[in-house]
Amino acid sequence: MRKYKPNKSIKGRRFTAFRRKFFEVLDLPEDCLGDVLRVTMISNSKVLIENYGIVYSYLDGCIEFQSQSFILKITGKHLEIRGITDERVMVYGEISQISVS
Amino acid sequence: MRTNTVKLRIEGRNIERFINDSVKQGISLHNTCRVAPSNIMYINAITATIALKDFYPAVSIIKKHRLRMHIEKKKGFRFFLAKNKSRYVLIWGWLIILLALFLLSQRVWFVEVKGCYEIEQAEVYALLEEYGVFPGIVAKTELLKELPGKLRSADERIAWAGVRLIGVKLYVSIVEAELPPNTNFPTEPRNLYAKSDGVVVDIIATKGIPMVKKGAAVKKGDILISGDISTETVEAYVRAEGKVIGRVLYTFAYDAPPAIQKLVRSGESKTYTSATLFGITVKPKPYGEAEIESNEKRRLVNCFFPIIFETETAYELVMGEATPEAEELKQYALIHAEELMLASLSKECRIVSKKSETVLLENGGVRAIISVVVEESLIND
Repeated sequence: MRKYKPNKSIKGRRFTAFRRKFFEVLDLPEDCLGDVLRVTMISNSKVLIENYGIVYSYLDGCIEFQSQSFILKITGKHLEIRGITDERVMVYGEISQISVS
Repeated sequence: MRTNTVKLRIEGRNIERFINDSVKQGISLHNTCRVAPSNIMYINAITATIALKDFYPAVSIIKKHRLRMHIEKKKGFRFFLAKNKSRYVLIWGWLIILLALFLLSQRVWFVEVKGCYEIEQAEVYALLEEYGVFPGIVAKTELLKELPGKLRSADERIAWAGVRLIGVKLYVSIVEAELPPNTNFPTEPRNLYAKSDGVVVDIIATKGIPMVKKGAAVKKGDILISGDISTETVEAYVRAEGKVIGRVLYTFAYDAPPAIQKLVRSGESKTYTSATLFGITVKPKPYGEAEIESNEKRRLVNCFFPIIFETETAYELVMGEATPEAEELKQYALIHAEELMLASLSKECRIVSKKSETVLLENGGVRAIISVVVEESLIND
């Protein structure tokens, strides 16, 4: 499986670091940055993941998304990617576990 | 709303790459779920729904990653059109039917008039027809707006008129005007008289003064309710109205001659066999009126169907004079006396008691006498 590498130059990385620092100083929530992983779970049947990166693996009862620095793993039954765009993905099914590694 | 969509089944090793590349190229995948692969060699399999416009870009990604693709379902108007391209007669037929339905729905096909009591419905229908409202007209808004006013002005008995069009049915509601009561009082008393002898059971006078009491015996022509309501100083008369119920005795008699007309055997007879299966009987009808005598009944043995054969003899009956027994003659006379009674009594009356007797006449005939006491209105209509 190929690795997810965000295509950013040194300049871009420096700007991101600066932005992060700026938000920290102003005590603003981190998710306002726009490029951080955000998981919204509705009951145990729906999960909305924003800035998920790429689909790392799609197996029976397990879907893995590789973000910038970690892998998000969703485990459950009858998992279905109901809708997917380059920014967000909606997963339906009987979700039993969400883990980050 | 996605109108034209394709459901694909994609099999192979690099399913995730297909998903990621599709997303990168702006292809939106919907209802993506894993399914069992059709062949164990393909390892992974998913089904996904994509828009028709994204189909060819998706095919190029599938080819790039050496995946196998199968179209499972096509949904949308463009697919419907492509499928029914050769069935142009059917499509044109449907279009013509829809157009005809649309055109026919623009017209009024039924007209219903409500609220008529004093005014005849036929009069209102005639008025409507005069103003150009009849089944088959185009439901023009101006015409329907003007219609209530026209109806009101056409007949003074119509106090209000309303028109409501529901679908192809036009409802015309009418409210009748209450005409002023008649103020012309009679110049002489209008009394209610007894139409027959009897005993008063109940009396209610709504206008006028009752002249008899409950239990009183009255004769034909007696005043029951008087229309003279004058006092010592003032003269006043009304049209007497009310209800008087009384018990009246009626007697009906019928003389039956010794010889009566009835159906008798002519002497002709025929024997035939009828067949019955599941309650359905097949048999000839030799005479118009006949007396049937059953002779023999046989069931068909060793047969799956329960067929029954019956031998019958039909005796022809014709109208002729017969001299019946005394008992039969009494019954005959009583039946005719009862028929006479039912024909003579009014339908509103209630029979309180009934007594019937028969007397033998000198000529051998029988006289049946029925005496009934009925409760009925004593007022002469």
